[in-house]
Amino acid sequence: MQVWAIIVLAAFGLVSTHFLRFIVKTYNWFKLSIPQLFFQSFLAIIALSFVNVVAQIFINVAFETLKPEEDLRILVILANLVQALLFYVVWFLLYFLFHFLDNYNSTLKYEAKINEIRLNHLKSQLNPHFIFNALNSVRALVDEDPNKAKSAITRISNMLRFSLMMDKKQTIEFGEELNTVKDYLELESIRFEERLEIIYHIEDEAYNYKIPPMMLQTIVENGIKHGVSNLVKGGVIEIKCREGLQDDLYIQVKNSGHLTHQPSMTVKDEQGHGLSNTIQRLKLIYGDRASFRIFNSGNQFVITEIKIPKQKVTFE
Amino acid sequence: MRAIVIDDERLARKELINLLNQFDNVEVIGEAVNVDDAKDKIDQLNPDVIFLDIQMPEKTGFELLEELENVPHVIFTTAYDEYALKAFQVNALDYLLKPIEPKRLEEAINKLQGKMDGYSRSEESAVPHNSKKLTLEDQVFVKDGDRCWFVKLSNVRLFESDGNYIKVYFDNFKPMIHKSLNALDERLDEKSFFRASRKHIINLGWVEGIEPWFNGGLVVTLKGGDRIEVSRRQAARFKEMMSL
Repeated sequence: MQVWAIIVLAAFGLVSTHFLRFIVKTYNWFKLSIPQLFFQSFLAIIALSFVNVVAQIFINVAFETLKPEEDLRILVILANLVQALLFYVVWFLLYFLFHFLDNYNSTLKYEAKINEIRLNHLKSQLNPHFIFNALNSVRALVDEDPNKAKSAITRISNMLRFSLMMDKKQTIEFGEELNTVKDYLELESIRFEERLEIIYHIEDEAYNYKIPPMMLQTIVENGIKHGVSNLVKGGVIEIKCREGLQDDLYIQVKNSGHLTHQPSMTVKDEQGHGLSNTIQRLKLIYGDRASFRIFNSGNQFVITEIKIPKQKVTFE
Repeated sequence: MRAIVIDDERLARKELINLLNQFDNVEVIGEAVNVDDAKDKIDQLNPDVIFLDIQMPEKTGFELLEELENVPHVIFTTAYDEYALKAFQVNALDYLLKPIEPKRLEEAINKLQGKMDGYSRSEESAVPHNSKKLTLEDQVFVKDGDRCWFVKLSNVRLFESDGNYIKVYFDNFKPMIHKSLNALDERLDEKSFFRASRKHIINLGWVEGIEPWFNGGLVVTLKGGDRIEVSRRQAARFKEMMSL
């Protein structure tokens, strides 16, 4: 009988701590300030200890192991109370310690991930192939058309400055990004000449939005690199920006070319590198409210589309 | 030397031609805007050297080299290709980085001129040069995956057919080229290369030992240890060639 009483008591301990865990989770005690947490835990521990003592008595009654003259003495009840109290205090400490460590761990992981993305981001920003080709064109332009050469140098400096400053910011004004893209496309059209046709359809509302820096740039660059530049006759880059119905911005880049395989999410894949980065960044900044698609439009064109909400998810 | 400049960008071609015009020993005889164009021009004009951009639409500079029957001297021009630079770690082939530094260009041209002068001297002393056959001095372009080599035929000890491909044995490498052994055999100089069997062509300069084998055949040991069987039919010819 004594053994059964102890087992049931242990079971009660298990149930009560699970109940406590349930309370902690439902009322989200992790978000409480430290004094508040102490106060509430203290109350919970006291209450549970009383319940525990009462339960102990009832269990003993049920199993007929109660010795009223001994067990119901004030001193014994107090001792039981202190024992239960200690039990719950230790449980609480372990529980919160575990959660704290776990939380700390995932914060570290999160930060490592962010750093990795930042690094990849930086790498994809300054495309050396583009910079050197542009400089090479400028070298030829110096003789042919000095004025054009001058404006090309200005555009190259704008782009360099932009890409050096932007890695610090999460989002920037849409107009600022668009200007960089325009600089970029102007420089590419010096290289490709009649092989590159550029079309813009930008709604005025687009300028009210903020977007992650170098994102549109990356998409356009991909369109050139994997699309237009691979075609002997060249092709088109068309940028369309319009506001959706629910305070979101749709940015669509259409380029000549054909998508042979879906860009994979693995960073190692060179082809998809810029794009998988874009998808990761969108997710980090906007959670599930942003979206990304890339698909073939007929046999001649590839469309890349992103949707960006007006508000970003804020991280504390 | 007569040169063709191959680049899809007009300004890049213009810039390079401007630079090349400053050299008295270089004459730019043509320019090409893509691989197919370049192939025609090379066949027509038969240049001594091509300045070749790697990144071009549809086909890369490497693909041009693979398609060419007779590869002239090549100097690559590229803006920034980790890939390309890596590909040439193996052998010293010249490449220029765009924008091209005039001094680097001069070095490349002088180096090439030296090489060409060396050739013409050895050609004079040799029997009348048959331009269609590949001699030991000729280089072939071999690409396997993302590595490339320009191999002097004198360094190739063995060609082995493998399905639709030929394995080219040199140094520690044996990359594959997409060609038939018969087609290759016709283009190789028979004084230097010998068709040992249906499967193999060996470089006679690499032969180290010869042993008799079953059915009147032979086994040839090449420097480096490869052992190649010579079929009975070819064995008689082989003996004839190797004896005085």
